[in-house]
Amino acid sequence: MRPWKPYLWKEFRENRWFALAALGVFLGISFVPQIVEALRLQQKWYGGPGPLLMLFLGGPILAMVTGVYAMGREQGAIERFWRSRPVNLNRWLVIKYLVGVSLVWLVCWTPLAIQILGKAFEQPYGSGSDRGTISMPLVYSFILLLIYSVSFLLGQCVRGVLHAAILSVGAMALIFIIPLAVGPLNWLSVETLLKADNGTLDARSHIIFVTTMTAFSVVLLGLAGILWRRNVMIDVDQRTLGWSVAIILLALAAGVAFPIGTNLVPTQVISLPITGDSGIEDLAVQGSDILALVYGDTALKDPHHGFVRVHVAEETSVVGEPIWLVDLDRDPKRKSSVQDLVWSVEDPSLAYMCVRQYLEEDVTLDGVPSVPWLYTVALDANRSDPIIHRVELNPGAALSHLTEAIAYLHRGRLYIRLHADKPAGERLLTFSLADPKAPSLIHSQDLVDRIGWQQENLAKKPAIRLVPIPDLDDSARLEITHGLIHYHYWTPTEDGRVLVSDFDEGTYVPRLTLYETEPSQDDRVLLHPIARRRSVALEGFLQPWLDDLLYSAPFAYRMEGNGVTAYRINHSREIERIGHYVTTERFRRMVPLPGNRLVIAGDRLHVLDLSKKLPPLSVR
Amino acid sequence: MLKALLWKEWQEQRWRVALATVWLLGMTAIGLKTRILPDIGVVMIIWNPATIILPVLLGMGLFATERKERTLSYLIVHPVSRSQILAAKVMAGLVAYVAPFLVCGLMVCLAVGGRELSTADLAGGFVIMGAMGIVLFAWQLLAGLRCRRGETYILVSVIVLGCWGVHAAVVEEWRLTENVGYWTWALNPFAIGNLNYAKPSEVWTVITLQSLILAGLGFGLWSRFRRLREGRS
Repeated sequence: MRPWKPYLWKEFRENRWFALAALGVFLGISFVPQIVEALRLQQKWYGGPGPLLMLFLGGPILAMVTGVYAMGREQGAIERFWRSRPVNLNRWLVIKYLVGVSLVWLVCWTPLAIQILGKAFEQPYGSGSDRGTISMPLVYSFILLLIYSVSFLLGQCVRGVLHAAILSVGAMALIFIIPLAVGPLNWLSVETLLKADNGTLDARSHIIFVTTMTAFSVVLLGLAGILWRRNVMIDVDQRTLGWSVAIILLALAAGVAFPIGTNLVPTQVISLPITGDSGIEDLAVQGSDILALVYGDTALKDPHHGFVRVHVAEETSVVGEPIWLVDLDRDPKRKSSVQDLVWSVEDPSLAYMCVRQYLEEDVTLDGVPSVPWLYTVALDANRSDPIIHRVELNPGAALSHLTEAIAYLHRGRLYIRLHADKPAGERLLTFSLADPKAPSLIHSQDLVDRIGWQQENLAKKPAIRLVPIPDLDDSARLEITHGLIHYHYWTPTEDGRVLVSDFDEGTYVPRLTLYETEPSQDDRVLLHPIARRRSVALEGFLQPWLDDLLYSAPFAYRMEGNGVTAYRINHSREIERIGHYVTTERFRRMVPLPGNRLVIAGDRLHVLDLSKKLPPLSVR
Repeated sequence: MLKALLWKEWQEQRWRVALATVWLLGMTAIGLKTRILPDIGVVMIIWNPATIILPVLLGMGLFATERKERTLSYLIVHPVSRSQILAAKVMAGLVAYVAPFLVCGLMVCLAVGGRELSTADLAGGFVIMGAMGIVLFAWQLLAGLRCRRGETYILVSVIVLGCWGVHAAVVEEWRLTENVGYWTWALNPFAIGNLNYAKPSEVWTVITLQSLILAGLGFGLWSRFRRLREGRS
C-alpha cells in the first residue's frame, strides 16, 4: 500500500458509523415528513424545503461536531500512541482533515442531490427556476468548510472535547455574526447566499468568496499542523472557559447592538381620546398642528372614522375632541376606505379626503368595483355632519377597479391621481379651490404612463416620470409627483435632488441613495447617484420591510418593519445615520414639525426632537 | 447533615449561578438598552434559549461532573442517606437555576416594567419560562443521572429536548389535540410556555398534568439514585 492509504483506511473505519448515522438523520429529517405528506396528499415526496433547511441548520452543527471529533477523539493515550509510531504526522493530519470535510459535504449534499435528481427526472430540461437549490449550497458549503476548520483546530489544541465544542460554538457564532455586523466584511456574510439565490452573485464574487474561505481554512489547517507537531495543548477548566465565552459574547453583543440600537428618545408620547381597537390612519400637518384621521370605537354602535386635532408645543401638547364622520360609516354594508387626507392651507378649518366606497359583497379576487369621492370636511366640532361637500371622482366608472385615489395640495390647486389596475389606467384631476368649501373640477387628463419611479432594469438609469402640468417648473412637478404617490420610497430634497430608499441589489440590506437630477425631457427626470449609504447587513435581518421615506432638511426618516431610522444628509453629500426609534406599536405615518421634530403615528403620537443631533454651528 | 451537603453543593455550583446571572442579565440589559427589538422580542430571544440551555449546563454539574471526577463514591460512603444526598443536589440545582431567573427577572421588572409591557405581564412571563425550565430540568436530570461525563449529559439532554420536539411536531401534524384530546399536548413541557389564558380548562389541564409529571419525575429520580452503583475502580 502507498503511505497515505493506511491513514485513509483508518479514518474511514473510524468515521463510517458516525457518517452513516449523520446521513440517516439528514435524510430522515429531510424526507420522512415529505414522504408522509406525499402518501397522504398524493404529492411529490422530494419537493419540500427539508434538504435545504437541513443544510442551513444542521450543516453548521455537523461541521462543528465532525471538526471537534476529528482530533478530539485522539486526545490522551491514543495520541501518545500515534506519536510513538513511525507515522508521517502531516500526512496523518491532512488526511484526517480531508476525510472530515468529505464527510460533512457528503452528508449535507446527499439529500440535496436526491432532491435535484428527483426534480431532474420530472423536468429533464430544467426551467432554471430552482437555481437557488444548487447555487446557495455551493456558497454555503464553504462557510461550512470554515466552521469545520475552526472546530478541527480547536479540537486539536484544546484539551477536552466538551471544552473544544463550547469554544467551537462561540467561533461559529463569530463566523456568522461578525461579517454581518462589520460593514467591510459583509461580502463574507450569509448575505452572499441571497445574492446566489436571486442570481446577482457574479462569477468573480463567487470565486473571491470561495477562495477567501478556502484560504482561511488552509491557514487554520496549517496552524493545527504546527500546534500538533509542537504538541501544544491548551488546558482550560470549565470555569475559565465559561467566563471567557460569556465575556466575549457579551462584548460582541454590545459591539453589534449599540451601533444599530435605538438611541432616540421621544420628547412626548401623546394618547388620543379614542378607545377600543382604534388606530391612527393618516396624519396631516400645518406648523405645529397635527390633524389625525382615526378609525375606531365611538359612543355610537359601530366604529367610525373621525378627526382629532393636536397642537404639539415644545414640551406639552393640547389634544382636541374627536370629530366623528357619522355619515361616512352609516351603512354597515358600504365600506369606506380613506385613501388620502389633505389639510387646507387657506382655511385650516377645512380638510379634504379621498374616499373609496364599495359594497362588501362585491369584493372578489380580481378586486372590487369602488366609487371614489372627494369629501370636504369642516373641522368644526359643533356640526352634526362634518362632511359639507362631496364630489364623485370617477363618474361613469371609467376606471372600474380603482385602487388608489391620492390628493396633493399645491398653490390653491388640489391635484388628485386616480389609479386602476384592471384595466390599468391613471387619471390626473385638477380642482380649483376658489371656493375652499366646494372644490370644482377644472381639468381631467388620462395619463399615458404611470407617474413616479421608473427603472426598467439595473443597467438603465433610473428616472422619475413627472405629472404633466405644463405651467409648472421641474421642481414643483417633482414635489407634486411625490405628493401623488402613496408609499414614498423616494423623496425630493430641498436642493432639487432625490433621495431613494431600497434594498441593496439582490439582498435584504436597506440602503439610501442620493441622486442628482437632470432637466426633464418628455416629462422624465433622469437620475444619477452621487451618494449612497448601505446599512450594516445585520440591520437587514431586523427590517423585514421598508416603508415610508420622509425628508425634512437636514434629516431623512425611513419607516421600516422595525421602527424609524433617522439619517442626516450634510453638505458634503454624506448620509449619516443618526439614530433609531422603535416601540411595540406599529407605526403607520410620520410628519415633520418645525424645529427638527418628527411626529410618528402608531397607536399614539410619538414626538422625536432631533435638534440635539445637529452639529453645534448648524442648529437653527 | 443536609445543611452540610447543601453547603457543599453551593460551593460547587455558585460559579455557575454567577455566570448564568451575569450572562442573562448582561444580554437582557444590552437588548433592553439598545432596543433593537421591542421589549417582548428581546425577552423572548434571550430568555427562551436560556430556559432550555441553563438546565443543561447546571444539571451537568450535579452528577456527571462528580462522577467524572470520581467524588460521588466518597459522597455515598458518608453516613448520610441517599435521599438526603439527592435532595441536596436537586435543591442546589433548582436554586442554581431559579436564582439567575429571579435576580434578572426582578431587575428587568424594576428597570423596564411598564415601559412597553406591564410589570405583571413581564413577571408572569418569567414565571412561566422558569416553570418550563424546571420541568425540562427534571426530565434531563432523570435521563442523565447515570452519565459519567459532561458531554454525555449534554447529549442525553439534547435527546430529551429532541424527543419533546418530535412529540410537539407529531401532535401538531396529526392534530392530536383535536382528534384525541388536549392532554396529548399538555404532556409536553413546552405546553407550559404556550398557555392560552382564554381557555382556563386548558391551562388547568397543563398545570395538573405537569405537576403530576414533576412528582413522577421526582420519584423516578429518587428510585434511580437509590440503585445507582458507584465504584472507585
